[in-house]
Amino acid sequence: MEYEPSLEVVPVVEMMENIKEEFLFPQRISLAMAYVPYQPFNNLYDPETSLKRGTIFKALDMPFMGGKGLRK
Amino acid sequence: MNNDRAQMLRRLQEADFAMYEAVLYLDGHPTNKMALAFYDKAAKAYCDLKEKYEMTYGPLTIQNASGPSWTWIQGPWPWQNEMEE
Repeated sequence: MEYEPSLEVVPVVEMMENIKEEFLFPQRISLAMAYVPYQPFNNLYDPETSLKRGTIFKALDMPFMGGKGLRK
Repeated sequence: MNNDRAQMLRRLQEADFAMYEAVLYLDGHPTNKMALAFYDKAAKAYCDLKEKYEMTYGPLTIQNASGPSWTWIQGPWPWQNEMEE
């Protein structure tokens, strides 16, 4: 039986909106394994902002908000 | 440390950081063309800035410390670093 991964359950944040779904995950994945979505190389900060935010990737600029997971 | 120098050092740190971000990405995505192009650009920016900085203010790393005299000891020492942020 083929397992059809549902992208619905993946917490795809707004930064991933413009990425085609097939690039996020391999089409066939195994159960009971943890996966990290494919990270695209786009949406970059300029060097000055990058150093301040600690990442060049806007999508990875995720400050810890005390467990609330909200962006400021 | 004067303002120009601090500013230039800051630009250098930014270029260095951008370059290493690309390095980390490329470790996991070694054939990504955009990342490769970004790395090339960032590495060149870093080298250019470093050269420019060292020409004006002296060596940042020991490999470039040699000269007519031992330029490494020309200040400021780390504990004399007044650059803040």
